[in-house]
Amino acid sequence: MKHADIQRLLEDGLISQQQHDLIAERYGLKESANRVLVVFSMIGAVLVVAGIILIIGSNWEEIPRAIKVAGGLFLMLGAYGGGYYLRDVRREHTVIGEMLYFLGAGLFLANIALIGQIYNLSSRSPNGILLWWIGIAGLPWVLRSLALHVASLIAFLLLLGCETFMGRGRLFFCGDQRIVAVWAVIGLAVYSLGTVLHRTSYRKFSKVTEVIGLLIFNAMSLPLIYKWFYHSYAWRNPPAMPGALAYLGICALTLILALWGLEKREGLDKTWRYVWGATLGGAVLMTIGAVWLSPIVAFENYYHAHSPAYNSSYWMFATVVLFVFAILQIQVGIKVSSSGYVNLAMVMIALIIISAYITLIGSMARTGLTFVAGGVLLIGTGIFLEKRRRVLLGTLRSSMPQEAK
Amino acid sequence: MKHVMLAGIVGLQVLWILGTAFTQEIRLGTGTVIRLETRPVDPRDLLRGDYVILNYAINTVWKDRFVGPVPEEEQAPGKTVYVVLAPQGGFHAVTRISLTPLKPGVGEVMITGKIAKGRWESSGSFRIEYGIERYYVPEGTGNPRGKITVDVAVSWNGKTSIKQVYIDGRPYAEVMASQKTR
Repeated sequence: MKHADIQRLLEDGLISQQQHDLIAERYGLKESANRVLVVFSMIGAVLVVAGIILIIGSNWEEIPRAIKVAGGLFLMLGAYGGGYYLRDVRREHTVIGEMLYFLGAGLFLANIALIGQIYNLSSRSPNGILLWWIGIAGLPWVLRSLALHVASLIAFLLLLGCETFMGRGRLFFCGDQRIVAVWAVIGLAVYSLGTVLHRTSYRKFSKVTEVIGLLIFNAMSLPLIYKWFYHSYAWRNPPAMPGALAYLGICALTLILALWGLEKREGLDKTWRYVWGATLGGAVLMTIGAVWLSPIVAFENYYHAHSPAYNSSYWMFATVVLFVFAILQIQVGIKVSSSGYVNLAMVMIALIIISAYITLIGSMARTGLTFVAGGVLLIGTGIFLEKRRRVLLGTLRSSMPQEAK
Repeated sequence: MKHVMLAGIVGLQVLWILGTAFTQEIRLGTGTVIRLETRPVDPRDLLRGDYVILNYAINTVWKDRFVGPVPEEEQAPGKTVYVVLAPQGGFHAVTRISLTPLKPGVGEVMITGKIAKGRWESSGSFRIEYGIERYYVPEGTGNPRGKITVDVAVSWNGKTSIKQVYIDGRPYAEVMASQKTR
């Protein structure tokens, strides 16, 4: 059975979209695509757009405003129209169609920037991103387009980034490194949203959302395991209030979404749903602790006469929590048949081991011998982890049906 | 149904683009033109390339120009204000400011702005922003030398758009083009 077969069944009205998605996921059926054609088409599209931009750019001052606006609109409508024709009318080059949808969404942002530039509009940068997100947010749900879902997610995360990082952002939290704790929770919120999507008719958005969420969580929580991360005088200052409330709100939202999403998560039995749910909850609490608890467990340490700095032992707790999280992430990844979970967790484990080495052994390194021993340890760990990763992915593949391979 | 919803959403995107362009064109074409004095600095917008920050004389307004209640310092940033300008020595300058719309007299123009964070009680002045503080220029031309003046188009409701920027009385693009060819 190929993906095209169930696509025909769907078009003939013999199965519903939900049944289509269920069959595709159960048997691991993917839309076929001529990779060479896809690659050449993408390069071609990029060259055409880049060429047009360069031609326009070289004559920018001489081009009338109306032509500039019309040109931007033409490109955007062309991308949307081309995507719709290929993916939803002809239903042949679905991957190229998806790429064109993605391009169309990107060109809407380009048009917002273009209008701002032509008419010298002054506004906060997040407002442009907000407009972009609002403009494209509905498209993935209408078209059931994975590419547009990713574009919409990128837009939303970019907006959150501007609002949380910028001093004048509406969700400004702090001007120091505690912001990574906020973003670690945002990653978990995105992950939890992915688990919720899994129980809806938009389950094809689920896996990519989960993996993006885990990627953000893993990347942003990593600094919490470094001893030096807590050496900041700024940590004494309480977080800014609107941002702090929003942060706690995101924590609560994450837990609610996780409970809802994991309740019926396929691939996980009841015990694993509890275990994984508790793990997510523990990770959320660990990030909250990093912001509010770590200064309490810290003691003041004078590096030199005039430079007081916090020296928290919270990094040890964070290391243990993240290590356990990564181990369980691998197990859950195998159970839900996701190589993304496994690969991310493997990288995380390697980074945790390296950072623990740097903190515990590296700090005492005074001789070349220590470095040699440490290097050999790291190489050995790397080889072991890679072998283990391959075994786990092999197990994962062999547990999947023939069609999915 | 799918194509109708797609057309609706993309239509809204197009509507915003054309609507903004149309509003701006109407303002530039039919608005009252006033001339303002500025001092520039040279930043860069990651999204949109180079631009010149225009720091107008009318950005700084003294408290004694307020008509009616003066907003409290804590609540002031972000509040909309109505500023009446009158020609003084070749440029338009602030004569009155209020939290409610003002009726301009003969030769006067009313524009709207927002109170920005910054100087307040200590200096007796505060900063107003009008949405015309950025002027986008070709890359590498955002560091002009000379006296900068700006023609601003003001619509019937007090909204403003930059119509032309001058360096020593000559259009910005023209000056920059001549500097490049030298």
